[in-house]
Amino acid sequence: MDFSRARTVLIWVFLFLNFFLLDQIWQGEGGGSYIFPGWQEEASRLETALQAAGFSLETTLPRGGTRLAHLVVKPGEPAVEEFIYSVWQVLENGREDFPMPVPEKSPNGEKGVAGRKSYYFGDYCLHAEKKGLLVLEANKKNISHQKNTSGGEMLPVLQGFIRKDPFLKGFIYDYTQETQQGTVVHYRQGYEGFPLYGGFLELMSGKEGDFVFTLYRLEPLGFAAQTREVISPAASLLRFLEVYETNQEPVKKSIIDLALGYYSCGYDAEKWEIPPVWRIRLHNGEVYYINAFTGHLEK
Amino acid sequence: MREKFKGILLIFLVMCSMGLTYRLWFGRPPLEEGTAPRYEYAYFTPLPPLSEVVRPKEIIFCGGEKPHLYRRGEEEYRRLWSRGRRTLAQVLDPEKMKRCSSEELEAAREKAAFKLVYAFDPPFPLEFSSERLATTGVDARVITFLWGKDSRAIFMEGNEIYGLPLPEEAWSQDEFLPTAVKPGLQLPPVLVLNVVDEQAGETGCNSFETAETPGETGSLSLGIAGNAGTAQGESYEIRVSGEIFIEEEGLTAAEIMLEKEDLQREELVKAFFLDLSMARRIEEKDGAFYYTNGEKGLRIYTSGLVEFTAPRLDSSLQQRMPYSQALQKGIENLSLYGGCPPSAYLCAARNSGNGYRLSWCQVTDGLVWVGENAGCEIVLNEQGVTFYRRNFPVAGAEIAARRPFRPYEDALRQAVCLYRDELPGKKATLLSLRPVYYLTAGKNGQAVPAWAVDFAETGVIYLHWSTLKPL
Repeated sequence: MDFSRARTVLIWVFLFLNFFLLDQIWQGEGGGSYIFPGWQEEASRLETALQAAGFSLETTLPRGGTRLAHLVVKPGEPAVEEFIYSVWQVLENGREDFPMPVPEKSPNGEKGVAGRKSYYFGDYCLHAEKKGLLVLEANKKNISHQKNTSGGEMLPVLQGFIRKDPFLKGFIYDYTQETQQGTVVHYRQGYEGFPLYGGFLELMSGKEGDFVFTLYRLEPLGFAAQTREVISPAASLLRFLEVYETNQEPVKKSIIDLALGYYSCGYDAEKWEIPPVWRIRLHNGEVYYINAFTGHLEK
Repeated sequence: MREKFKGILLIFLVMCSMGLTYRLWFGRPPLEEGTAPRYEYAYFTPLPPLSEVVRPKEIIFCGGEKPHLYRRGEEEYRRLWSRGRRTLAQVLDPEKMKRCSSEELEAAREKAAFKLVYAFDPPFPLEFSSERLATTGVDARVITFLWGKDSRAIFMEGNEIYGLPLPEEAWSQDEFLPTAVKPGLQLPPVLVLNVVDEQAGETGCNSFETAETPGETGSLSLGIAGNAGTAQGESYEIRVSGEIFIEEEGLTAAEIMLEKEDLQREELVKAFFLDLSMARRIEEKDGAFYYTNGEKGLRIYTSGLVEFTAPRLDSSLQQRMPYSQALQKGIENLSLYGGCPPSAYLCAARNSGNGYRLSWCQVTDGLVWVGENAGCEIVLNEQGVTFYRRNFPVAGAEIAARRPFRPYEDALRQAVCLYRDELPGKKATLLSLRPVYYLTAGKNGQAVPAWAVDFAETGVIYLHWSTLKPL
């Protein structure tokens, strides 16, 4: 027997085996798109649950196994009058006759809502809520150039506005959605490569040219010290199905997007920590946020 | 040489493959296993013995002309209760306890030369004094030690009355005799108050001095000195509900500055949340901190007030929890969530349907601290604590010299005068009357001594101990 040749063959076999094992370990730790055998069971459980709930998954499952920490944020403080001026410049194509905004009272003398200031200028109204939310409304009857504007046509105008206004810097296009009321273009914030869904900008354009512009900006201050592993995307979907099943009728639905980011509702607070979430977007425009630490539905 | 190298390389590769196989097979933690919870089950204060969870509301000794009244927080109260519970632990035996009628108890009371009454509110589960009584389920509202020349007995009044003769070896009369004299008086079943309109003082009601005139058939007529006989007043009949004892004299107090309780915030948050990394922090504009994990929330105010809610545990489907178990869980949770200060006493316990609502109050020199958000309240059920509110300020310096309380008759008359519109038919039922410390709200909180007058018709009325102005 040629022992030397046998040794050579064995060396190659073990070398190959070791590379294979290393690859498996790397995949298992989230280093690749390959589904690790340990996930197979969860994946099949998810498949069964999705079928039972009448859902189809129209997106690939992203990687899990990440360790994250809460993100500390504070509410953005918009300079309302400057913002109004920027809005006027963009929407009125640089008209110089900027009308001074009238706070608190509508032209009809209606009183403002508690915790919210309303500014009326031209044909627009800006509501500034105490917690930092801005809602700009345009009266459909008076804005001739907005007529029949689709989401696609609106996008360049909006992007130009976002580039121009310093308060809107950092908003990233998210998705566009067609609704019965019109087209809604969604923007979100981001931080360190993670989507920050808690800060958003939405432009709803009605079919008759009216629009509502909603803006909520957060100032990220950094990550909290303590990290922990987030739940897997499959686990988040299973949690979502538990919540969804109890509320909805069993009709055919599809999940079109699943992504990891940060989200919490806005607070009238100094600063707060927001958790990582799995955002689940459905075909009908519904969006759900599953806390990636606890698996609870974030409201 | 080359063959030797190949041999070594092969051995190395075989060992590597074994190591990697092991790592692949066992090394990876399960998919959803996060950080192992580091739940620090550390109590802020040690758990008190069960017999100390419920203490008497007051201890009354009768053995001479006047009764003697001892309240929570007083030295003599502590001595008498310590002696009483030791005796209870020693002698209570379900086989020797005999069910009695109220007539038998009354007869024994009349026969006894000395009477030491431990009045409980909330009731005291007898199983807390001895494990032998775990199955009896007796919750005593009153425990009375009676003794005379040739007889000694204990009576326990709850839903039923139980009696037990006291063995001579477990008994030493000297230990049950008060060493400090503190004469009190029991309010008669009916009080008649005379309220005169013409003497409107600073408070908008009467200013008066006290004069007591023993009335007919045990009632007490409280006339108005200086005006008695000269001015026609309105007469109010006050029916006294149950037995109310009041200090006869020597009741003095002063306003006290309050300081914020020094609670370790991080430790407190760790106690409430299983895993701190799951709780997120919100710093509110008023300086308060709010922690939540989506299921439960903890708010720590700048004033020191702590509030916790876990609404998901608030279920009506849970099983009914026994009273004694609720008390045990309550004190465990209080010790765990901030601790039980030495001046705190369990002052209320009731089943609210969704679980037990337990309240702890602070006491200084026998006077309970009352007021909005004063003390600690815990709502718990089988699943855990659904609500927790804690406000245990620390007593600072006395603001001025101690002054005596105005007589209780003045307080009663002032309360009637202030709320006369709510007393139709010029009749009222007095549920309780006690001297307290009333906690004022605001940043620079103070504890103001006050009379707490509780009429069934009006609710509790707090009157400044010196001026009798309503608080």
